[in-house]
Amino acid sequence: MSAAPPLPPVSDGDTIVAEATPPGQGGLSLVRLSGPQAWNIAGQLFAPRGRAGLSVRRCTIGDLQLEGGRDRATATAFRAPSSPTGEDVVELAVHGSPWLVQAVVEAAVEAGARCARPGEFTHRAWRSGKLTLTEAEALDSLIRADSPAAVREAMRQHGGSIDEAAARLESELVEALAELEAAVDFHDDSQGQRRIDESLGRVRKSSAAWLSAGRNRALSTGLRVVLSGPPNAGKSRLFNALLADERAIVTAEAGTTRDVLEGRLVLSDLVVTLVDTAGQREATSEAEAEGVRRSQRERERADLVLEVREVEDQAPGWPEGGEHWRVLNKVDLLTGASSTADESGPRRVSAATGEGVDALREALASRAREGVSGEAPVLLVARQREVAGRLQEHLDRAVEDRRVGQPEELVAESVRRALDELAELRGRVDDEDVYGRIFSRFCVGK
Amino acid sequence: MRDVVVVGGGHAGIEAAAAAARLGASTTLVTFSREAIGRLSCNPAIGGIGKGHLACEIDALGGLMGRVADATGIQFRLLNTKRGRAVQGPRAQVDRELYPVRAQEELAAHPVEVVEDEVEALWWGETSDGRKRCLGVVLADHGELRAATTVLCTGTFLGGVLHVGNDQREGGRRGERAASALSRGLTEVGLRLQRFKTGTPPRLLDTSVDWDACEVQEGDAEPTFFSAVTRTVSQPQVPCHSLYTNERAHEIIREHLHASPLLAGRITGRGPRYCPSFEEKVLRFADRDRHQLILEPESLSSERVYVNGASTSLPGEAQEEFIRAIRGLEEAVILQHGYAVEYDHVVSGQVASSLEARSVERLFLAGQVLGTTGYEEAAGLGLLAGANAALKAQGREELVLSRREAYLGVMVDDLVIRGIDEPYRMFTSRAEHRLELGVDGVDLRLSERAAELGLVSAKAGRAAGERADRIAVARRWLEGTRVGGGRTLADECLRPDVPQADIEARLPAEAWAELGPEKLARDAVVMAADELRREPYVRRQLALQDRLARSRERVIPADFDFAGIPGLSSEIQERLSQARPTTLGQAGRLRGVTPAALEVLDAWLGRRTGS
Repeated sequence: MSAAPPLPPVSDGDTIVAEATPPGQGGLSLVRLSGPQAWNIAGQLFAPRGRAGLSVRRCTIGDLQLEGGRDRATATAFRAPSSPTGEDVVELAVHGSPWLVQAVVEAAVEAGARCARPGEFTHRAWRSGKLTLTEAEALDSLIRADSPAAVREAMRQHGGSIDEAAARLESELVEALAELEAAVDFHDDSQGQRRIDESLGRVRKSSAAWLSAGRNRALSTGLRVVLSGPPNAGKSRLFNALLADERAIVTAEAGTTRDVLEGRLVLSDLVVTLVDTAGQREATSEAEAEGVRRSQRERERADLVLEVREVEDQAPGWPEGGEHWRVLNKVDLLTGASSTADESGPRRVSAATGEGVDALREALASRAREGVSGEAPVLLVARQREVAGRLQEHLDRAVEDRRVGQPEELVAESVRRALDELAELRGRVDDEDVYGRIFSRFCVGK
Repeated sequence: MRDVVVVGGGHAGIEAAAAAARLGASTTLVTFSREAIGRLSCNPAIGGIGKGHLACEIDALGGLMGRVADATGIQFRLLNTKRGRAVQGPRAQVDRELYPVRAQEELAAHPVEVVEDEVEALWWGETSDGRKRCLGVVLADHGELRAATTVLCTGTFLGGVLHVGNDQREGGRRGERAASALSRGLTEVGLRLQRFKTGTPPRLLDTSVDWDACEVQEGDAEPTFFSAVTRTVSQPQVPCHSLYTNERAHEIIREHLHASPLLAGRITGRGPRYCPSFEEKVLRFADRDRHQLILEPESLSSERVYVNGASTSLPGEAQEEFIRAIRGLEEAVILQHGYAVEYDHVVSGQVASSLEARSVERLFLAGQVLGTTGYEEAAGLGLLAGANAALKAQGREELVLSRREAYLGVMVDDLVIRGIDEPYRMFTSRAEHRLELGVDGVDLRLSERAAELGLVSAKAGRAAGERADRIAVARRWLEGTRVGGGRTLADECLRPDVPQADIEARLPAEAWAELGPEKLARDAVVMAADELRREPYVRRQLALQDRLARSRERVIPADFDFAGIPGLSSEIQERLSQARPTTLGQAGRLRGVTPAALEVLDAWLGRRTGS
């Protein structure tokens, strides 16, 4: 399964086959068949020992009948709809040899199966209602999660937390829509006007919490922290110090770093990607000029920029825009009391002696954690983040239209768009009965 | 043989017959009673929000309703004036005595033969390939009446039962008989029927009301008409009055609930939630200590007053006790008690978008028999069914309006595709494109097509074309007139704090000169500015639809078999088989059809067509 779009092209009524365990040698490998012919095809390449044959939800021992010979294996069979994909399924556990697995898959194809496309088993599970769309996506995130916190979040979502949260927002928006529609269709002006604003405000706040980009990225791709600053400020040495590794080449010469270097730092079970960049100055060579351009791009992509300066750098002004931390390096060159840190001022470190580096790493860890605690689900998948972004736009517009006194039917448009986005997020359109809400609350009609 | 026979002389029937006749079809209308043609069986009013939109669309298609309502209107009000133009709906109190008379005159101006009789049965046969085909109707007195196409507009008369308290008797309207034989006939040709119910309030003697205890509701000083041809009011204008119920009145209702045919279970049909009986209001909104009632004059020439909001089917004595507990009605005399009516309607999904029955060729259905309520809904469906019956008889292409063209298109699509489970009434919120469906643009959307078909004059079609051109010119001026700061008047239109008068004042003299006579010019500027205002919203909606619906244009072949597709529940298979959506997008609008179900369907379509 790829990140976005998560679903492969629409499948048909074929029976599909693929290895379910990672490719390579191992004790056992699992080959999975799913589709109407799964049992039939399994029967052609697997002979159960004893007379019973395959039976539902039972593990059966038997022999693979392959061109090259026989080998012992076990088969677990399921009947639709009570199976992992909702279709007929047979899972063959065979000895973990790549050529054996390949032979089994080929024999299955010979018998009428088709090689599964990436994610097709999950897709079929979704199609038959075994998983919701966000659950399917969470499953994908779970498989690809690269930090313990990301695993926990993916597991939470696989259990349906995005769906639940989206359903809560949806329900609140439908309430607001019912109020708006009652105003338009029954020109009921008296009730609910305040409720509309409250509902919209609450939903907008929740959706903003979902979105907060840093928190999302902290889990899925990790918090991206870029070291930036003038040449020879000691960025590369700080990079190495934070990673506790000699990754970057460090010299006393300004403009040593030309390329962009990345390092991964796992801080209290979250991933932080550190990016070292070329110093910002008028380049003296073409290679350095390219390096400067690249570091500019990195600054734009960053969740957080560490602006590194030499402690005695007197150049005025710090760059604006985005999230910046000021870091004064080489505090070991200072003498006396001036090295005591001022709470609101720049962070003081010495990459050379290690002074302040642990504190900086700790600060990065708590920054990375910032987005992860709390109730709102984290949107792991790019598709979900896109949808949530549009959801936010529609809600912003609805709130703004209310503020400037636009009529209800225009506000309702934005609320409907927001509901459309939520439906897309969940991959499901509930038959939401706005009228049901209207008529249960308002005494309308002649 | 005649082309079209229409059964029923209500609002659907007269529009159906008149539309067929306008298209040049030889047409016969069968009704119990010539006198009863065009009668208003419930409230003496036409229009409102959504309903007013329908009435204006009917007018743009050459229908009678708008002109008749304008000519017999005794109070006009435009509703929702605080909101945008798209959702403003005209409404009129009409004179119940004059309305049918005027409707009959309008109908008489069409070459429609009227036959007074009862339809006993459908006359049908089978084609060589085994399909049922309607050949006409069998009348009680006049025998067989053969027609190329038949339109049924039987309203609440199909299996109608009236309820007042414990009394129940057959009937379609107070004092009029029901059409029960025909109900059986429809079942015979394979149409599934279901019970719906609706109700009506008591009527009071106007001299028995204490008018001083009521609040007065005047009509608009400048009336808004339904019809493009109406210039002025024809009747003296009168006010409505409002008053409130109270706890004691509610208590009386509660005491008599045991005698309510609805709550005692004698009425099994489903009623509209938006038009609850007063019994239901008291039960459902137990915390409300009062409800508003509107006293509407029924006619300038009668002393009957309609009590809007007090629909009830309690026994007569209970109605009297309840009414007299209300301040202002202490001495009120009830001239006619409220009652509930239960009737058969054809379960939705059994007609195609042309309103022709799927199971019986050449049989068209319209109005309340399709499960709608309301005069305007009935009239609109009647017009479309009558037009399509005539077009079919003439071998011409059918008339189907889209959801983006008209509320009529929304209604037909809802009935045909989405399906309904309570009496269907139009609301603006049913139309996802409502910002584009304002009453001020019905001619722009419908007149040229109506003229091409022959439903309205070529002149009406041309007038709409000229108006559209003028609006385009106005728009060009708004977009081209700079107001400083790199902004144009078009940008100013988008600011809610800039009033329309300001926009008009800043439009240069050359623009006005090009736009022509003042009234037409102002109309064009108002329309163009309004179009600019809603455009961002419309654009966002379309963008989303495009994104969601890329694959939804996939065509489902007419003979596609929905039964037996693995992965679809039998309920969804059945719903699809009934509704017969023609595209995946339509299938997706059916109740209960999930995106996952659509994917399965898509896959099977692909398999069949080999793509």
